[in-house]
Amino acid sequence: MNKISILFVVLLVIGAFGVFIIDSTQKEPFEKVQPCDLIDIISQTNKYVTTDELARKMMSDDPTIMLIDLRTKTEFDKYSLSGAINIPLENLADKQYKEVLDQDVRTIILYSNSSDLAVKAWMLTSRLTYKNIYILKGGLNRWVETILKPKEPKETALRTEFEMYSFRKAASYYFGGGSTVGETVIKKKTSLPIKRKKKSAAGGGCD
Amino acid sequence: MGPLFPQELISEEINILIGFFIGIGFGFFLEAAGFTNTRKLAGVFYGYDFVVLKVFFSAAITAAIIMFFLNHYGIMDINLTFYPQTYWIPTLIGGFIMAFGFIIGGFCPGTSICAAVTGKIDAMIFVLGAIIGIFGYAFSFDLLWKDLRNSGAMGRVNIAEWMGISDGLFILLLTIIAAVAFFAVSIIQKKVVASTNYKL
Repeated sequence: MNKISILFVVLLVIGAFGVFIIDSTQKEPFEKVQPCDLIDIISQTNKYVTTDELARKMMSDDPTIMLIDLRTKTEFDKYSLSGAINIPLENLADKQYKEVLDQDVRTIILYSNSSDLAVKAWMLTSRLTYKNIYILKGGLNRWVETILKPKEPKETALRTEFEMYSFRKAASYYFGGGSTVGETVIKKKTSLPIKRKKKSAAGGGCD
Repeated sequence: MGPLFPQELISEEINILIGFFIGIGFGFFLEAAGFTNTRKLAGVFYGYDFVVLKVFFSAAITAAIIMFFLNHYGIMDINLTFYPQTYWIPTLIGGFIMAFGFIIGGFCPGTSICAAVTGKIDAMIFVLGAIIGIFGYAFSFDLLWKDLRNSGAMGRVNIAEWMGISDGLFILLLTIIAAVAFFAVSIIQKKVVASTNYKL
């Protein structure tokens, strides 16, 4: 073998050693999900939980839900939903939270002030192939709007909206938002007198 | 073209054009390196010329190392490259047929076309035989070869995964085997050439 071939073989062996060293020291890849699969995951529409659904679950003491507060610690200390765990978004991929988040027994609901941080966190967790993770739609802002300070629907609203309102009002009292609703002035409904048909006497059997 | 075409990053026309230029380069260097010489190709079986073994082995290892680095540094996703499913029984039989063709004819499919273009009559007959073989196989496929073709299916297997070792270790082992083989065959070649009077 001439010198050039020997040099080439030596280069190949060095390259192979480099490959081996890199391969044996390389950490597990962070992103386990391929980009093409991620598009399918992102386009799922059932990743949201509405504030009403969450309220209902919390009021019935559903043991399967786990709330994750993605805001900073100071914000979390100021106000948070009861039973929530504070994991700021930037710490979400930390090893200490892997056991909490990577499971398939409980339903994890992520929330922040709006849906913004929660959607980011949700993307992150789906790239890490965590399961059973949902987003609180509208976040705490929507929570305050709909559950803590529900607005009375207009009189012309559908019956279902009134039913929802009464549920939200009850929830508002339950979660301690009742005092913030303020004096609930019970308006007397000015409704038109209902004209009822005069009941005609039941006719006899054989007239 | 590797991962570019299947991912629709380049159009079919560009793909064929790139293939055309790679083909020209491939043919040019096959001829320049003397691969259209039947004696040089068959030499690996007689022990007086191991250039075929050296070329194929080093090409495979170079490609493996470069692809590993491209994948590692995120330039190319190795999961997007294509390799066919393995059917070990027809592959084994095909390997034997290929080896006998190599010894008897002195060409492999690629070099036979190269040699035919340079005007070698034996290469032209070799190509004709290959074409007859291709058509013969295609027309008798349903009748004769279907079961054989689908026997020994293993799915898409990666040899390193199949052996249960990491890709890096496999590349390293293969390279060491190749390096040892290169030195061993150069010794064999020297001895054989010295004891006989083979001439290319």
